[in-house]
Amino acid sequence: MVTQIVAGRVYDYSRVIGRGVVSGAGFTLPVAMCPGPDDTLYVVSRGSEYIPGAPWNKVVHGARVGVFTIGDADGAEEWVSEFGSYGDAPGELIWPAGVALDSAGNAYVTDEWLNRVSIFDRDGRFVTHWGLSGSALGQLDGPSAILIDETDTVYVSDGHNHRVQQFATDGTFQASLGGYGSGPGQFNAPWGITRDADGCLYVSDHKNNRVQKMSPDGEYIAEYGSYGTGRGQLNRPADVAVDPDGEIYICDWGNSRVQVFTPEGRFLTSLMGDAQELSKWAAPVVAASPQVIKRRREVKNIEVEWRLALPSGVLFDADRSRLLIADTQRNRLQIYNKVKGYVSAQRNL
Amino acid sequence: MADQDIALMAHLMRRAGFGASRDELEARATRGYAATVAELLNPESQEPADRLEFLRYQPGFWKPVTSAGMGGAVWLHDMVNTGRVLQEKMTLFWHQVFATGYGKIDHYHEVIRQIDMFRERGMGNYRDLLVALAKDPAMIYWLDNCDNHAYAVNENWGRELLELFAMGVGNYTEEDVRECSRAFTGWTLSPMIPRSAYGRFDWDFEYQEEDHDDGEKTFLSHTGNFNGEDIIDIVCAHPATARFIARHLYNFFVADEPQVPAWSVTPPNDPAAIDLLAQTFVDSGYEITPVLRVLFNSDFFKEARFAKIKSPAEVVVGTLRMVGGYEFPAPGVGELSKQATYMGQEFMNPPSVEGWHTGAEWINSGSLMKRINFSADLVAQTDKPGIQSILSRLKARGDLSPEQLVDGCLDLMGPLEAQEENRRELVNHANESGALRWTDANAAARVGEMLQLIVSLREYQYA
Repeated sequence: MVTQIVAGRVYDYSRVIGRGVVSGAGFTLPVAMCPGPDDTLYVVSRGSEYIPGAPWNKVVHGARVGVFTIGDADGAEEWVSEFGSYGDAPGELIWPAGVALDSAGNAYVTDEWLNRVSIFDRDGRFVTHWGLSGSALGQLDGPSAILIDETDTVYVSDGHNHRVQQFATDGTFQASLGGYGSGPGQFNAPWGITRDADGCLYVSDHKNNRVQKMSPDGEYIAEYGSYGTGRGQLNRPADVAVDPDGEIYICDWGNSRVQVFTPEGRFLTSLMGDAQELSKWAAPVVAASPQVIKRRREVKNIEVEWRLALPSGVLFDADRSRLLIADTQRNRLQIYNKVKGYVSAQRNL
Repeated sequence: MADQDIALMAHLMRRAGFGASRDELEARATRGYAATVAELLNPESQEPADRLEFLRYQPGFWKPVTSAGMGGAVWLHDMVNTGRVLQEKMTLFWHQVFATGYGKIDHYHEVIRQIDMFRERGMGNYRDLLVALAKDPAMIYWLDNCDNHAYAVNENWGRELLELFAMGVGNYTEEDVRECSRAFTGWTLSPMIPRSAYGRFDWDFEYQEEDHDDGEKTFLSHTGNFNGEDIIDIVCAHPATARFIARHLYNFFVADEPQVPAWSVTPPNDPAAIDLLAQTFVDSGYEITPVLRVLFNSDFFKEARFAKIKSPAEVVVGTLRMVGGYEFPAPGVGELSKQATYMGQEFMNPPSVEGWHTGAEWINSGSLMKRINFSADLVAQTDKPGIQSILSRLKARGDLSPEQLVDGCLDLMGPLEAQEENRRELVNHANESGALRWTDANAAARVGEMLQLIVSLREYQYA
């Protein structure tokens, strides 16, 4: 089933983009995305420890921010450029976790090991970084998701401090939201964040297995999900997105799926991943190996390849009414269109 | 609280776990030895390691590449963090007995899945464990049972099942090996999605009836149209199996035995202990937990303090847990997991299906230096919580004479029972700086230095 029709909504699987590479056209564990200028998409690749015998700050390959255009049609994706690389020097990244752009097009990249936000200009040149390690207001411990609103207020999910903090673009502290706990308005290792059209903030409350919705003033409004593997249940959610209709897409990381809720919190459906065709960049890799081709023809059930594997990021592209999912462990993005005006086929075909 | 109670509890926790802090030892000693054994035997009552926490920060280790040899980081994190220490120790035990290596399989995650299976089943029924092992994809590929066909028998799995996993040499014939192997024809693997642009995928067990030899077989004097599970039933019922498993458990938990290949010609060090464990194994219907209960409550166990040389895993995990601060999967966990490799025990990559040779064979000039350097680097980190705990307990004793400094450190590091000659060397060293006064700026550093010397002693290499 690549087209899901549920309660009057239609989620239609579109396509897959990516492959595992440590540079260029593909990703190394993509964990976060944000829209960029000129119809680009910025994708954070976490990278993985790979180099034996190396010190901790030289052991990873593939950590970077890639810039892509993905277009509308199947196969339209192109790699544009990339910036950032592994290391702890200025302009380098150890554990890149989130990316957001300010109104000038500068990219802000969180590093949840170095506890700082690194800023790169539109051309990917390192500008500066800010952030101090600690738990005092304005300090960071495990900053992961980041978003920048239309007023250039920067929101950072401060994971180990169990809060979301607001900053000016120069790193000046403005406000803090939350604190450790499982009650309303409290967080346990918050990860992904997003805002809706009304300015409400949604926080993926990772270890509380829920998403919380907060008013623009930071007041608790609602929560979605509870621990489990069933419908509407969550296992360590990673990220959250909201579409213009207010519907909520929760990246249910530990259950390897995306769950969709109505604004009122009613569960709608699960998106499991439907990458039945190889991506434009993956197909040549497979085609280059006769052994791989031969073995793939022997596989009895290849369905597991279609499915999401510990996805870490979701982004709703309102202009095109589509949901992008960072399918982290499969080094790809999966895209679903939310189709308006869908006319179903005749039932008795 | 009697020192002997603490010493006995420390002994239990070194063997049934990876050591314990003085705070934990005192709490356990208050509850009592038997209650602690009962708690260890009931792992569900303790917190497991949080695998998702590890993958949250280190996603690259979900199904890691093999070329870098760092995939043991997943298991190291489990061992360092688990509250279910005996369950984890039994996982390590079965990995030693059913030694399977990624070096041939070339997929860490398949060995990790096997390790996870050991964790789930390792304290349960041995017969069920053997069946699961026979269906384990990593084992099937490791011992070529995917090439064991009705029309062309491959004896690798069948032979090792009898020789290394259950009975030991001398208890079966070559004909038994052949017949055993015939019974496992058709126990194979489904073709796996090959690694490629999207990473790695899992293997699955598959029984191919059309490739199974369903003919009559005569195995260990039993005749019938045996399939694999029938063979495992016969193997479990054979007296050699109970004694083989009992000896393995004794060697792992009690005292070093000769290497496994010598078992057919060298009697056990403590035949009565082996008899007791073997009989418990049989009486319980091949359940492992009752055997462990008897073992840990026995006098022969309680009297075996420092009768075993620590494996590299025990050195690495025990020291990391003692020092503390290594619970979080920080950058560099892959290299950290290789420390045991440098000491001669690469997680998930034993030198052969025979597993590692243990006891004195863990030690050579190179591995000993790695053990000492690794431990000494860690205990010198006086800001770590475990060392801070030692420091605060020492401070509570007031300023310390050189003898008191040495004895206090030896006590809180175990307690360790240092040979008089070694203790005297430590005291001589401490004497060079005189009494330790906590107002001195270098007081903590002096303690760290003393701990470094202690982990350099031969006593620290014994569990």
